[in-house]
Amino acid sequence: MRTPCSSTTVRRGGMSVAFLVLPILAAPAPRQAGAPIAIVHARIVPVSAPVINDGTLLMQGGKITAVGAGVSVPAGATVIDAKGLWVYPGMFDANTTLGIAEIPLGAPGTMDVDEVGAFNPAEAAGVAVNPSSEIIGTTRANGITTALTAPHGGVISGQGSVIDLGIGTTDQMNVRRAAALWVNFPQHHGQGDFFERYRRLLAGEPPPSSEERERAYRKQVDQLRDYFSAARRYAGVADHATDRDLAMEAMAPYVAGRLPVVFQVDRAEDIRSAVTFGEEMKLKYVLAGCNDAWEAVQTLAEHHVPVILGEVTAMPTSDNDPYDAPYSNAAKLAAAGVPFAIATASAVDSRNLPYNAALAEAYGLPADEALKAITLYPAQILGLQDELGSLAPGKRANVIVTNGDPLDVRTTVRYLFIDGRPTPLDNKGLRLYREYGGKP
Amino acid sequence: MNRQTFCLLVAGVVASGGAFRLSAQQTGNMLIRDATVLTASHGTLAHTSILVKDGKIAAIGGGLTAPAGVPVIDATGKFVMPGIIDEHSHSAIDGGINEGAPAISPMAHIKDVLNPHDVNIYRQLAGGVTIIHVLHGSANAIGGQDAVVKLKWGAPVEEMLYPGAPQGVKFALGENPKQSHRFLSEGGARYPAVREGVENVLRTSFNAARLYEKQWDAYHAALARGEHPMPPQRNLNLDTLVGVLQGKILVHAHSYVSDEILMLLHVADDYGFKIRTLEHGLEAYKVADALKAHDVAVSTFADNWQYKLEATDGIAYNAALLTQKGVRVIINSDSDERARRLYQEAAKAIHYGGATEEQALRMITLNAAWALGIDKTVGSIDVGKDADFAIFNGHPFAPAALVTETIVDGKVYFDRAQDLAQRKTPAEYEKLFKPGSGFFGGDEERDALQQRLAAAQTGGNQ
Repeated sequence: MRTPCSSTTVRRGGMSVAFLVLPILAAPAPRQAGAPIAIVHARIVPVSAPVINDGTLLMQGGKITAVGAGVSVPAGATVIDAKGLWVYPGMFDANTTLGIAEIPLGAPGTMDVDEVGAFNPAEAAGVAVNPSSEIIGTTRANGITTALTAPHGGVISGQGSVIDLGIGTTDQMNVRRAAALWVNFPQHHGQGDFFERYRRLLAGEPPPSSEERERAYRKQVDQLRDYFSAARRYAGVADHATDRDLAMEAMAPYVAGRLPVVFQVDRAEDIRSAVTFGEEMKLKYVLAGCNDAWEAVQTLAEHHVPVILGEVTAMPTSDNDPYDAPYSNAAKLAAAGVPFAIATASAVDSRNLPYNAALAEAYGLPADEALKAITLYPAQILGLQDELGSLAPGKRANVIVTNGDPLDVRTTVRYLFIDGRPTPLDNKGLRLYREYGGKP
Repeated sequence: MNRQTFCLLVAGVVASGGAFRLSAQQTGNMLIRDATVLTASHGTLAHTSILVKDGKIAAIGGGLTAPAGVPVIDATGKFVMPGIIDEHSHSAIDGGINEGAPAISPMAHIKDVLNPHDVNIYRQLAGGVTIIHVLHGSANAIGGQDAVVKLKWGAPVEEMLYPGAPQGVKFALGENPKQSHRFLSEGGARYPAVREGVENVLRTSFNAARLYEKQWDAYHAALARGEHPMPPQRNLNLDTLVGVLQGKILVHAHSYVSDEILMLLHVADDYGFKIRTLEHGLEAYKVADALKAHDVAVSTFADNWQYKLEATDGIAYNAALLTQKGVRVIINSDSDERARRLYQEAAKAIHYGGATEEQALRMITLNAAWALGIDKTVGSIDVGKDADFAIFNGHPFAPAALVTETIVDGKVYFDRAQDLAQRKTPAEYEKLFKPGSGFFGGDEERDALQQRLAAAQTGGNQ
């Protein structure tokens, strides 16, 4: 379906764009519905439908209104002649800290990822997204329009929010403030309590025995179970006039199975434990990370557990593992019928989302699956497939126009639309490039 | 334990090596037949074969045939590029990478602490890497001396050190040598703690080196006159700096911001030595003209930035912009992970700023070879050079490309088909040793040993 682009034909290809000047908006403005926009003569890859070789995509009122070969362009529409260019849905990174993490070293004021305490379900990342993040600008320029951004501290870190990477206020960026509950599932082989280990190290004491470690692990899982059970009991009581508890209240959609609970796990045994826990607690649950998914494919397939893989650009867990274990994970999940998405587990590397998918493609994931893994599948896993993830009428008009396969590093994004609004591709890197005399 | 297990596994691969691949019987002779050859020096050659004799490239051309007994790699439909050179690596170092107590430590040698069994050597071969430049860390304004290592996985360290490579030494500027990010700092601050102090350390050290050089010159002059003078006291740090002053030791300087880059160039001008490369050089694009005038190469990340304050003006366009301004650019990994996919990293110079494919290719081959002073023997596919190749199933910059074979000195050191044939089942892998995660262990085997040791020391019965 997709062919690797040849740089000679696409990179500097003579694109004929009739309407090149898109409004560059310097400051946030209301996202109002303007005139319809039509992208014509494009090779359109809707993801959820077959490729259209010479097609038209129509956007109006923030939504996609038509996609097809024989779509007529309404009068008054802004027309973009995209002959020689390709149209895709904006990419969706389902595991990031975008907007809440800027400069990890030396600027703690820019970091809003790790909260104090083990259980913070009431805290949602979307509240603290910095719309002026320089990282978001560079991410958007590579065609990523949507992200799940989530806190990562403690055990129940808080709630992940689905945001778009458009220009605007935090409120405008939030697609779903409460999108997923983020849980760092206890690890069998984890370092245990950091300060306790460090105290032992300084005191010259030996590390905890395997029995102590196992006890500590069990205790952590029990505490997590107790927390979910308490939240379920709380949700079972209608009247909280005198005992309203905001943390328990925040847990309600998750214990009810209305919204997904994400368990961050990497090791195979932890993956199996998280599955056992999710089944036992009857949650709508998703796994994230899953570096060792290839060792637990059977369990994942048996329970049809969605996995937000990534990052793909990772090291094998152990010296003994196959060198390509993180690269070939996605292909193995796809072959076993496990629902999955590919993510970056990052803020600054979110712009490399398509190249994470490309590595998975190189190591066996079919090309169309690799594209779905960063568009439609994350939308499905987070229950947003009616709004996001593909080019279909009625969906949010998050659209990118490229000069080739977006998974090819040599490809660049030419236009980007979020909620049907032309969104500038300019960013800090490009600004400095111009300022210091880079060739246009 | 894990390392041994892996070595056994690899020994098994070698022992069972069918045909000639990955076997001890490899002679360094081979014919790679009918490939698309990305030479890095003179363009792309379609339907081209490469004849290798005694580990060197003997011929490149269309109609080459293998002499009797010489094995053939059929590369029809494949792409061959020069073996990738990772110009900034800390792989295969046993233990820490910083001699962090003193502000200057050029007496430390990386070649003394190399572990030839590091699994990362094999993993990087699987990403097409054939040479790594193993550097001391950046905790010191003047750090330790480097090692240029050919990834002859399984050979003794002595055979992996590249004999043609000049010695290099690591310098470091900015947040690391001034120790801005000390973890759970013990005791007081170490001098220097500000960028001005980093400059002072450099100037003071080179001043001492000049005086030291004069002492030795006077000593040798006295010897030449037939006198019997006392030799000056040997100083291993100053020996290294005299080597820098005499142009025998290359300087690879970790640096980020433009002001400290200019400072370094001034120090080098004032004391009369050269800087070979800026390592990282995230703001090098701001002072490209000065770097070009000083013939300094920039060895940078493809797109890594924003991880600390001095990295906030790092732009992914750095490599292409410097190339436009005539500066030699290298893309490096500085990471066991990125080293495995440097071809993808290099392609980012095309994406950001429109470098040509050959320019991007050189950033991980020929330019890296120049930075290490070994461009006469490696870094491109030319007759007479070492037969170091990465063979891909497609164009290395294309999304679905992977390395199928990696060849060092005309011998196959990575063969994906053979690697796949040796795989165990996932269940078998899971039974193998897995170290714990986390900074302070979780390594159960080590923990158990420490438990027993502690028990023995306290008279326990373990």
